[in-house]
Amino acid sequence: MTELWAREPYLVAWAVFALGLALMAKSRHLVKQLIGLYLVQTSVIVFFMALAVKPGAAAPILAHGALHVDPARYINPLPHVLMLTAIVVGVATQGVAFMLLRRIYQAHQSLHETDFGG
Amino acid sequence: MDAWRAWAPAAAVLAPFAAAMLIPFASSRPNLREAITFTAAGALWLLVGWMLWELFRGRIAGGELFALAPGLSLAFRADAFGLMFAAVSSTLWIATSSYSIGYARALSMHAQTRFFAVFAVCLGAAAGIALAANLFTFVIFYEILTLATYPLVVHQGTRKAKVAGRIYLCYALTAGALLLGATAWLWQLTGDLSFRPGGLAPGALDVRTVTWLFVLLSIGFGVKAGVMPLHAWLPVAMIAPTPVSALLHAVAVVKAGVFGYLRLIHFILGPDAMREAGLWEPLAWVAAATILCSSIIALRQDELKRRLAYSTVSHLSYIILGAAMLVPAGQIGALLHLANHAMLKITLFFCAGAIYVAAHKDRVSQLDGLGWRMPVTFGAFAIGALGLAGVPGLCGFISKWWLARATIEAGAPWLMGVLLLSGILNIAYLLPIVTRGFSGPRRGPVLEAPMTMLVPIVVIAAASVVFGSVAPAIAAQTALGYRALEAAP
Amino acid sequence: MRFPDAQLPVLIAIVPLLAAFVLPLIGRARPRAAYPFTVAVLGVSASSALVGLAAVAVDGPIHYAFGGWAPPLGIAWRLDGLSAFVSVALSVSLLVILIGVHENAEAEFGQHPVAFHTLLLLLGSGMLGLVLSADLFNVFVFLEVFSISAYALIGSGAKRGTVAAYRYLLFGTVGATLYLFGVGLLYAMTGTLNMDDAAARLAPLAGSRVVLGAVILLVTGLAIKAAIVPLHGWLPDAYAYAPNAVSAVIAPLMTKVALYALIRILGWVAGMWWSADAVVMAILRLAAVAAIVLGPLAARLQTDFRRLLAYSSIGQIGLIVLGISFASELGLTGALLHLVNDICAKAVLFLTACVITLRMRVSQVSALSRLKEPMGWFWVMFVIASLSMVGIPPTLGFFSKWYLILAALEASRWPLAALVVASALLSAWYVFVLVELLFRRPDAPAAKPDEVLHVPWRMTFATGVFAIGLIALGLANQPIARLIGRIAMPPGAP
Repeated sequence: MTELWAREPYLVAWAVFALGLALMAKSRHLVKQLIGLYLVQTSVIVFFMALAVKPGAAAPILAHGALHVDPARYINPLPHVLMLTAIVVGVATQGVAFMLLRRIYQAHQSLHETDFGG
Repeated sequence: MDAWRAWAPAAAVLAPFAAAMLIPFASSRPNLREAITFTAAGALWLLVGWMLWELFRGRIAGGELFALAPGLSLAFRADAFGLMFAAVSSTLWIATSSYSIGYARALSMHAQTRFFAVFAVCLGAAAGIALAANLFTFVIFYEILTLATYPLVVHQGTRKAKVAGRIYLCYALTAGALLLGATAWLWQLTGDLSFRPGGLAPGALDVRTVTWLFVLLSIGFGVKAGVMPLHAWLPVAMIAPTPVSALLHAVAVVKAGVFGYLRLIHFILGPDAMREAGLWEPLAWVAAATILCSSIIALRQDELKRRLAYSTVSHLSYIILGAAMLVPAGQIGALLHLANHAMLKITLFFCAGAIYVAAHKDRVSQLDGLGWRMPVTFGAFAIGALGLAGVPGLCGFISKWWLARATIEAGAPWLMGVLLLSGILNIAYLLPIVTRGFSGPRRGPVLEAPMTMLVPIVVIAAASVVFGSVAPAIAAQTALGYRALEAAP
Repeated sequence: MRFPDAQLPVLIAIVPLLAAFVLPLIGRARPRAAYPFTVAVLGVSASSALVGLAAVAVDGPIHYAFGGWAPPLGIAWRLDGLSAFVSVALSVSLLVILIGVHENAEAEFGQHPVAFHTLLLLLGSGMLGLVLSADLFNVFVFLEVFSISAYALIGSGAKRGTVAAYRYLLFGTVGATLYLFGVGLLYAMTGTLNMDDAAARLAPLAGSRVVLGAVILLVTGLAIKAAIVPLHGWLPDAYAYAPNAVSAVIAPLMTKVALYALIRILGWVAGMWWSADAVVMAILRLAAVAAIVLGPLAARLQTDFRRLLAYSSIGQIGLIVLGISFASELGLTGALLHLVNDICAKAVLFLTACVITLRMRVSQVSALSRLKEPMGWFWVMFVIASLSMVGIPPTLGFFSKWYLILAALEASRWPLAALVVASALLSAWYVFVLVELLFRRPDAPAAKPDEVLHVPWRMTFATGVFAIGLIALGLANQPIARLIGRIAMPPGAP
């Protein structure tokens, strides 16, 4: 487990997270900030996916009638399940975010932060 | 009977709070509202009297009520110290209630319901302070008193009043914070906050800790007790209506601070610890300095109430001085002066208020010839002034005599000089008011304040004379003083 | 275990959730039924929470496994001392506040009562579900359930409210994502999501840097949700510009849920670091000190009433976190009591803001001075709540501070004890500016007819419950503290 930092998927996850965060912090446009948020949410999904991988393992689909299951032969399905939930949560968040953006646009005619004060 | 004795102090403290909760319901019927105040004052007075009676028969009322924190309970104990303070407050509350009704109605004061309700809370808190059996209970009611006095200080709602309120809170809340910190520290060190005669067991705490505790608690009590330089809030708070100045800022609030000192010196730290840490001399110095400095400042005040405020600061330090000297005579003197000064000073404040109501004057320079028009008021003022100066025949002399005796017993005759000098200064800043009043020709018909105000003035002034000249009264005072030392008379 | 007891966790948190789905259906036919329906559902929830607390105090924790799948495979819920205590505080407060803001809700959401109450039910079930959950990922789900409801509720206000909600959404979702990262790392190290199971498996891993990193991620994510300095930036705007009815519900309650999660994770999952010397605790202490000092100072500078209260909350949260960081019985008791104190006092103060805005349509602090005398009972409640913020006896605020001071002294951290004492003075600084405004001159111009404040009876009732609660809980703090000490302490606590 100590190779958490070293394995590429984890690095990708951290990189996407950092990218998303930087985009949120730097941008003055609300939609770009939302894109940054989306990257942040995606990074954690990548992270969990990376957790599930085992060397030489197959997709977690059992053959019909299989009785003995060797866990080492299948990748861990639990993080996938968790991420389904996380994706749904992300969709809900994005939905609310879009609704808020729409209201902001209706009120201010602009989605640029500088147009309605910090 | 035992159960009653255990609950009497709690009932005494509860009565004013109950009145405070009932008064708002009677806001539309002033007479009923005032009746509630009188009933509570009467109930408090009777309960205190009963507990005094029990005390003289050798039984101390009080008990633990319920736990308020791990290991700490709300507990009351009606010992001689506490009962003296409670007796003074309760008796004077009855007088002040009559006086404030007259004052409020004569001036058509606004928000009277709020005034009387909050006043009752203050008295309840004062009773709680007087009868507290441990420092935790004491601090709780002390903080309640600080807060309860605030609405009375800012009662007028003017800019000046609000500024005065802010200054008062600044001082009082900071003091309260220091008290709280010191209490927590003491609790953590010793695990016991109850007031024990004689204070700490010998060797319980080292000198450095005792000194630090003393400093923190001194500042905590010192604000209310008007020790210089923590006194600055008191003259400013004179902006409050005169009944407030009279009872609270001459009797209840400031005496609570001084009472705190009495408890600190004799029941928390104890004379032995104080002597060991060498604390009594610095405290005596500070008290002496306060006595003299504030008297000198009083000379320069033209506003009557401010002059009386500085006089109060001075006399509060008499009490602290008496306690600081660590000798029994000083303890008795301090306790008696707590009562005597209260009687005398409240008379003076009542007179000031009467002058304001009847003649709309509040400065010394405006009082020329007013004495002919208000002979009773100015006569009472003369009695109060002479009493504070320590003239024999008035109650002030009794307590001053004990304090003088204490200075000799403590081996500090220079303090006697301070007392004598202060007596002269008292005459210097109080008597001119009387002499100016009776100077020059009479300028109009006799026009005194209303009866509701005049009667309390006369009664208390008469009491000052009685407690200063009538032998049984003096003996009763002395007996209570000895009781306070937990020794047989 | 008797039937009702075993189902209590469901009654507390799932009933509101199901009701939230039912309400839109009912609302199509009878929109006006939204309010009574919500009150009834929250009533069920609150009474279940009370029964739950009693049951836990007598019989011990109640466990509930969803779908009958036993932990650690299934999702487990646990009603133990801590969750019972907090769920009672949250559910009862939610119910009372909802009743209190009814007039404001009518004014602000009168056209959409169904939407408002549905979101409210989701908010409630999210909060309560999180409190009851014993599964790390489940906590995330409910965290987002109530957060998303909050974003929507806050955003349904005026212009600035929408922007504030959007900022909160961005910031808060990052926080939840950090939390999820932490959960992922913990899952990688232990292979389980169940809190108790994870605690057992983490015990031998105390020296692992990865685990420390995971806990720090968890704590940081929750710190954003709990508005712990310096991650508090979203809070002032969100509280100040949300619709009044919304801020009255959210402000007292929302951050407390995240603080609960913080306690739960630090005490029960990462329990090997439940000590005042641990790195995580030191970081929290630093943040707490910053909050305690900066909160009141910033509050004093505000002219908008609700922004002032928002910064005040930040300071109070600092005190709660300080209590947690001592990792002792005294510290946690002080923290929990202060948590309840802040809920009650802020509820009263935000309800006051509601009342002012209801009639005067302003939200400035100075509006308080234009209100008509005489002081009614409502203002007495306001003063009691203000006193509790400062910490004046006999309110709960005094006693919670007492525990915090003792906890600091016990840990030999004198400066922190002095800081808690000083925090009372700092709070007094801004509180008394408010109280002072209530004292009007007798000759001041009388209020215009539309400025005369008629306080709705529901508002008086709600503030009355909280104000009386502050005094009653203050005087009764000993039995409560003993209960907390007996049932709500982390296992293996000193």
